[in-house]
Amino acid sequence: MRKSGAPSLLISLFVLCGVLLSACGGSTPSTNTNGGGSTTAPKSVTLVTDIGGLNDQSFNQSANVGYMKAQGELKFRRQVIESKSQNDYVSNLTRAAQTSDMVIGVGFLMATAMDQVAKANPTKSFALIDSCATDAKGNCDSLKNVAPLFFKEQQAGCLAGVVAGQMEKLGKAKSSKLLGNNTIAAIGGLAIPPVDHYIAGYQYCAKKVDPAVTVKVNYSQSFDNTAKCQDIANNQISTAKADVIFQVAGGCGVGALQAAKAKGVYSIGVDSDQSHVNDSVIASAIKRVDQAVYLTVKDFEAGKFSATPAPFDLTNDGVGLAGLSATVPAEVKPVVDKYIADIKSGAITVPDAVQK
Amino acid sequence: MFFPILGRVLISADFWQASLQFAALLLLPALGGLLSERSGVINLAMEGLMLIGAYVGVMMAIATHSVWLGVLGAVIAGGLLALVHAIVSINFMANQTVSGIAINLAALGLTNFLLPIQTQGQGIRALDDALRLPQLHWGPLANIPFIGPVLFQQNIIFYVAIIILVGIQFLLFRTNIGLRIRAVGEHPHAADTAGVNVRLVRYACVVSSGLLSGLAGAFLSLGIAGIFNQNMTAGQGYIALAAVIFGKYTPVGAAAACLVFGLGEALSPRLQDTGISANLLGTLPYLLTLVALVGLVGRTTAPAADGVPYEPASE
Repeated sequence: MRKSGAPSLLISLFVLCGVLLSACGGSTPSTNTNGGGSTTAPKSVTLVTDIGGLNDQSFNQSANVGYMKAQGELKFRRQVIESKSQNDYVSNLTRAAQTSDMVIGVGFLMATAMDQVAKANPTKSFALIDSCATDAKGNCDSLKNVAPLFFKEQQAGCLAGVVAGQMEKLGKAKSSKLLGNNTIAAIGGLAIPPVDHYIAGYQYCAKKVDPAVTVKVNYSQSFDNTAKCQDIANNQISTAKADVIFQVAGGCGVGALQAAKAKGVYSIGVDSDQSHVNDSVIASAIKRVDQAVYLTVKDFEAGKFSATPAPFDLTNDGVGLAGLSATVPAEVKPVVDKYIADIKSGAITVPDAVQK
Repeated sequence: MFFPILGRVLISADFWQASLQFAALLLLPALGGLLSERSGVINLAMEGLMLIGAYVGVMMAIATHSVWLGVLGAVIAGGLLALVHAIVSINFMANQTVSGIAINLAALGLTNFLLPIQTQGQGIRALDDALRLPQLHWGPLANIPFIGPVLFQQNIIFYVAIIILVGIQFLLFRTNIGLRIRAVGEHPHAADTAGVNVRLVRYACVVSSGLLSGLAGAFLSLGIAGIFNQNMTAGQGYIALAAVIFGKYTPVGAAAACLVFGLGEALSPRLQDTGISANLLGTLPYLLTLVALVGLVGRTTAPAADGVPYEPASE
């Protein structure tokens, strides 16, 4: 009927709108040159985020906090590139490498893309959260210009396990919402190393504190599907009578925190302090991606780039336990502190493999 | 080891209750998609429509202190976004697949962008119980063992979804309006000749898909989860579309397909105790689908004019 140019123009505009909106969370390479004054210009650092946006209340956000802290102190040119899909990794990392001296990639999933880009840009330095650069087969490539930033999540998981185990040991007399079956649970998003480290530590230390405790572990196969983690937690609570639920499944796991609240039991958050979600959250096992990014950038600017940095753990505040709630019995805190001291001193080594 | 656990799961009320809830959550966008496809407009946008509904529902409920205004907001937001798909597909005759995907990306980007602004980067708190869609308890019926929790202790939207299912099945196959919708989807020129306003019917159907998907979004955020999370729909809008096709483009068929998906969704984590890999079990809903498609459903045929923009003067 109508074959004029106007409709097609409008369609293109609409599609453009869609693209712009979908890109809305960012792709803001906000450049910010320093006012000058320093004699040697600081080397520039670009942050390339994973999918999910800068305000994902997870690793992107945390990485950005550390990045901004370093940028505030060292005044290098600021450039943040947000990935919209896994297909963006290579192009974003390449763009970052071509325009700055160091590139920080957020996330495990970028491992292969980073390998490719780091090889193509051997004069630039790279750092990757949660992974080494891997070749097409998934094996670690030890490149001289890539720093893998690993965390000992098992130490944070251990502290969560200490809280849960000690509460079970003290029993109903101290924590009225316990169901009395001496069972706790964890929900992982996927059985991948960063998730399993947390769960392994949780299992190990809960059992170390209270050898009689049962730890039920399930995986949701998702980091987004809130309803799914809620269902799994409901099932753990009603069928296995688990009464402390540790979520290691990101946005999906928020559903587990909600299930714990609805069923009147306790829950433990992950990665950042999640006590704001609801009052069933008695603590959170945290991983300080901000600290890792901050320390890495600082070292880089000081000329101390290392392709084999020490993992981030309790000794350098790379992991920890946050937001221990007032509902947790007073007897728990000293035990947690003892474990922190023992882990730091090396008296306890927390394993990182989940026991079946 | 495997069969005793499977048996225990299959007789537990908890499993069936969860399955039906997942099924109802898929059913609403599936019915919406079905109306759209039946009228001849391919609709891949249910994912985005649900997400926007989930978001607006929570924000409206918080702003107005009323869960019902939240639901209304979710439904309207879904409808408005679907209207965009309708305008693009029907008036401008753009590629409907591209438009649907653009809407999904736009909804994801928009919610990711707006959420931190509205929560000042703090992340959203869980909703108070008063701002959540109620779980109903049907008096004495709810206390019947097994059947009570499964059928009579569901969220209010579960029952609304069933009423809508019956309504749409009746509408499509027992009323004049339904005849028109089907005619427009099968042979729009004949329908036009018979005096049916093809574009109006298509507009109504596409917008309805938005209203229903928006309602599903509210069910998810205000009912099931009690919180909004980034990308919390996690692909369920696409599964709903699969249910439409799997259900041979009929409401009852789509409902049966949603039930199969719901069973798979609830079954997979519950079978992890058997020692089977969680990754493998995660494929269960889709394996069930393949088995059902090959064994029970057979060939499915889309409406003849599905995806074909209507141009009255083209013949």
